[in-house]
Amino acid sequence: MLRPALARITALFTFGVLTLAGCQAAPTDSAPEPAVEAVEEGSVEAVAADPESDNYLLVYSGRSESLVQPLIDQFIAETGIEVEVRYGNTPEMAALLLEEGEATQAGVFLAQDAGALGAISRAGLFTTLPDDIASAVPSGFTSTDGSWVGVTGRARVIVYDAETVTEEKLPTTAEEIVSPQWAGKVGVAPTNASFQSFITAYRVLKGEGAAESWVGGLVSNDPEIFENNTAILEAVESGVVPLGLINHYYWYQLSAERGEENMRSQLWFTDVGDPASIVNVTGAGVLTPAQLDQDAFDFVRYLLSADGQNYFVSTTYEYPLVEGIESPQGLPSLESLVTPGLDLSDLETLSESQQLLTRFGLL
Amino acid sequence: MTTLTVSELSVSYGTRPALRDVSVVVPSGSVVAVLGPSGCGKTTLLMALAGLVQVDQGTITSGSRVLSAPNTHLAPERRSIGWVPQDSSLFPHLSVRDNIGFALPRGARSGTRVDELAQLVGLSDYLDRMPGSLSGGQAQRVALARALAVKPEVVLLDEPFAALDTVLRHSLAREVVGLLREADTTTVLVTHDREEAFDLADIVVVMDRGRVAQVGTPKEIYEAPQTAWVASFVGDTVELEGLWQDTALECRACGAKEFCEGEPERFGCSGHVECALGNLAASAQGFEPGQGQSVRVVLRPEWIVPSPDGVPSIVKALSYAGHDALVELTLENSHTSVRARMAAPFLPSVGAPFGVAVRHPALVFPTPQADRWAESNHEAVTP
Amino acid sequence: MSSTALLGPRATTPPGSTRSRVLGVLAILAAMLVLSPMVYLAVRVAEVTSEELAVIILQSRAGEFAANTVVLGVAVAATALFVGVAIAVGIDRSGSRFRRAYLVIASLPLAIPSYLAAYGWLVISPQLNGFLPSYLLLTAVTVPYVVLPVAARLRGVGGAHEMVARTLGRSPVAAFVETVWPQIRSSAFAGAMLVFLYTISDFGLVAMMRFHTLTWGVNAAYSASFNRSQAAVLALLVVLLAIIALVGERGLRGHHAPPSTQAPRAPQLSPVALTLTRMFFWAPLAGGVVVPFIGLTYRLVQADTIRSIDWPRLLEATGWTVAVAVLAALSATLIALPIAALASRVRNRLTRTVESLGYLSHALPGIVVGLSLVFLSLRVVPALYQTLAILVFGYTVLFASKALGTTRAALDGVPPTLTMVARSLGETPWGAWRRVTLPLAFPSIAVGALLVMVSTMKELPATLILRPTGVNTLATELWSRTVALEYGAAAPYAAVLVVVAAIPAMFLGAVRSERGEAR
Repeated sequence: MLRPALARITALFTFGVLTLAGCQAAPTDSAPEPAVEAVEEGSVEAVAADPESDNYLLVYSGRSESLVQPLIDQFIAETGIEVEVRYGNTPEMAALLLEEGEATQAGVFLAQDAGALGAISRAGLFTTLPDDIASAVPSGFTSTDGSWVGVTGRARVIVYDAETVTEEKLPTTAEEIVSPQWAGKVGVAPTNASFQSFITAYRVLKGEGAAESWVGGLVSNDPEIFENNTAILEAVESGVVPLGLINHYYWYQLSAERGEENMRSQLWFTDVGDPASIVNVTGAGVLTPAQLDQDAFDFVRYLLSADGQNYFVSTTYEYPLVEGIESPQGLPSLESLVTPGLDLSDLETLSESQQLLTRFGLL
Repeated sequence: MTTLTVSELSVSYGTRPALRDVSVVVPSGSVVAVLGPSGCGKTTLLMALAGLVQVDQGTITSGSRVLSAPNTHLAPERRSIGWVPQDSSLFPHLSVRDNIGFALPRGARSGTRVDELAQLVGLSDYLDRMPGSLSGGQAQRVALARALAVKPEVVLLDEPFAALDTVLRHSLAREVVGLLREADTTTVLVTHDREEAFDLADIVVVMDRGRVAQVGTPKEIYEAPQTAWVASFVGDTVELEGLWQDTALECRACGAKEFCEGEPERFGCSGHVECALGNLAASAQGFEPGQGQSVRVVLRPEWIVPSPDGVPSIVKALSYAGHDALVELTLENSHTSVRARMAAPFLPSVGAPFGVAVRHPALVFPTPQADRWAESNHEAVTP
Repeated sequence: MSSTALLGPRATTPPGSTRSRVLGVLAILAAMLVLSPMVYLAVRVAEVTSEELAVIILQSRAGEFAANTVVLGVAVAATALFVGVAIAVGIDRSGSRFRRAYLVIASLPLAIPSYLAAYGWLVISPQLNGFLPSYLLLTAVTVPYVVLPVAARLRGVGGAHEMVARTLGRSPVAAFVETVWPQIRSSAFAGAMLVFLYTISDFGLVAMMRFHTLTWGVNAAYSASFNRSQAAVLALLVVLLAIIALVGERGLRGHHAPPSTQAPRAPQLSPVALTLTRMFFWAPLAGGVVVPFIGLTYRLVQADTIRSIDWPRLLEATGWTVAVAVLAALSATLIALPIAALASRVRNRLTRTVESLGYLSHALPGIVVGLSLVFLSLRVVPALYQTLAILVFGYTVLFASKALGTTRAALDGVPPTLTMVARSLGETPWGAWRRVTLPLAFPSIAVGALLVMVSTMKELPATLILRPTGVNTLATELWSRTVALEYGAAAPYAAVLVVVAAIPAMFLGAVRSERGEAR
């Protein structure tokens, strides 16, 4: 009864599907091999040779497609290099790269936070960037060993529900966030790398003991735990929680989507020098198997060029890290936001922060 | 054509024995009925013949070809043995035509052979129907046509008419067996219905709990059963206690004289038995009782006939079946109950006095206690 | 005694033990393929020192995650079981002519990815979080896993036993529990098992509802600390839970009774019962389909940036989604086939274990399956890395279990006499299987394939990791836009995804209702 019909439909489906698959398979199959075949296991030293271009680059991006693809398209238009991008969440991209190891075909890893970059660097999968790239960004916003370079900066901010909270009440220092009046009213995302950077910054700036009492204070204040910055922002926007700790640019993204006049939440920076307003960086590095791929280095250079930096400023409201480029309007200047002298991508200190959070049950 | 021989066959399901030491010879072209109560192993025998179960001991041969043995097994699809299961088991997803033609090579399936077979079973108009729309009888006929498609040497029928109503059962059974005989096919028919077995078969194999109880023609089985159990299974019986008299009655003096016409061998008389119905000619089945020994006397109801100077009795009840009746009588002297089968329409009424005599030598068996002793002995001897 | 009854549940395999051996080997190979991610887990867990292990298990929130997972899994499975049976009974006994339509509608929640359902609800009621919403919403979207097999089974059950019980003095409920329930029990528990495995492996919904299960912990381990070992340990805990559940379900399952062929129609339900089952029918639809839809639409309307729909892109994503779904369905069905055939043919503890193992990978979080296949394919078949083949294999590993149950039930439902007759008619064992068993089992096998299709279309985490670069499904496109907070642009993808997934989902309802279990 239904069986013949089912069989016919399945046959049609399969036929259509296979045709589509056949059409689509072609581009991927015709991708040319990258300049360097899989490097031998264990060889991480720089090869003494000049990089060459083969007009092809594979980028693993932890930043989303709608943000980054237009910039990449610009790069393609200018240089004629064919760039294929694999998009994903930064942690998963990092995990993927760590699994792929030296067999990866990717040339560049563009990451949303320094922790991921540090993890890749520590596994020996980044090649040292040439001086002109590594020195384009002031130290403190980039890696200490030249394995990756910062591309944009994002400030930690407080987002608050403007309908229920007035500005006078807002905390001006990190300590105030954990004061009793904010009990049950603060949203945090402990699994998020930028929150953990904040904790690391706190430890460095105020000392381990103070950091511990801050975390303890937060926990006893019954915070609302969220998955990531976006979730916190959504929660504040809908009045679920009046205060949240996020990165600044999410607010700008959302207001671009909804219209600034429709935003219920607003941003607030703590005092100058306070750990709650530190700057995190996004960054990029060239993977070891691509150390002879000129295209990879050119791409990273492009991110740090005026074109690249201005793109981020105008599209994502992030801070440019290269000197001479103007910060987005309405934000405190980069210099006024403190970065501790510590390398935020240093995994050891990061893991200590994580242990601290784990001890208090936040992780 | 070849003879199908089953020799000392034993089959078990795990630890549970289903067939024990079964030996049967099926002559080519004959119709053999396997008769027995539920659980006696008759279906297992059929499956063994078809090659659908493994044999533990014994052999099945067709002519000189070994079909089954403990170390040999010819796959079912190579045996040229057709099988019609109890519920016809037509393939529900195939039409009647495709069911019948299943065994034929693909090209032949739409050919004339299928039409031939359909005509044979009278279902030419149903070829394009689906099995779900057929009645029980029609389905069985299709199943038969299907089994006959590749002209097998042997056809196995597993209680094929059990699910049909009585009227249809008779006519269909005769029709089917007739067809098979015409095609000179050896037929093994499993049934629990004794009348069906007697009506259709040349040879009847009676089975009980995995063993063969008796093999013979229907008449032999019915009139000369080898054990009391067989006797009561294949027909109604009247049982009495008796004492064996060793001396052969003078035929002249024997009450059954006019029936055996003076020839004791005719009914196998080997002595007399003294019982409530008088001194009867008797044949001891399978044993030799001593003088004065207590024995079990078994008669068929139709052997008890009205006789004015016979044993006096009173009619107690009548089981009326239209064409005859079982008359239940109480013998006056011994107050034993017997039943007599009498043809209608001239039947006695309840309460009437009645004289009865026995017109056929009685069957004599060991008493139940002796029987049980023998049985347990038998068990001990046979592994 | 009928020939079928005599044989018992395939107590005597028709001669051909070599064939059983070949089947056994194939089945074990298939099971090993499906279990391949466990190799990765084992490797990663082996890297963990015992102190680290102690820290993970004792100090971190692993215990809390585990407790949450167990409670959620059991609660959702139990509720889905109860509600699912009620719905199935309600539909079967409503006396309505539109039974098939009701089943089709009841299958709709399958088309809604759990993350979309959560998102839609959060739009409307943003303060929702924690156990209760997670529990209710997961139940709503997984109820069809119980409804469909039970409804199919009920077709073959009929009302004879129940009516006898009523004449013997039992109340309607007692009669049902004592006569009908034992016959549908195995189908109901099989469905509940799928619900349990789905629940403990779900990430999207529990993340949004901020209810922290082991799977949430696995993802957190990756995001927070790039600690693949910790993630592996937590994933292992999920697997352990799954094993416990599978063992338990086998005990609860009872014996699979073959469907009766001539069953008189069951009695109609009392008005009270009918109303109750109607409520149960509409509740998952309201909660799992309607409300999320409203939420999503609201978000779409609110978006300042409703861009014009990029049709080529949308179509391409749709094409890929359908393509991989069909391929995955074929692949999963093929892999499940030998396992199901073995379990159906030979009933002993070993084959039951092999069958249960086939279910295990369903419990794994998608990200673990993804990374494990990266690990394995780079070492075993590097040429296939980041190709469609590995992606389809990933789906196969994840969802073969959905094909497994229905396929085995399908094969079980074919009476053994039919194959025996085929053998007596001259067919080889393989020929008999091909011409008789397979065609009869096909409708139910198709159901399993459809289930795999629906699940594949909705899948996200493994897809993100395994897909060939440049290949996007509707789910990944949807994800990439929501990550960038572009809900307006995401909405069309969400809509098309639900519509596309609804097609096989509705077929599920339709096919099941027509054939019942394979006859």
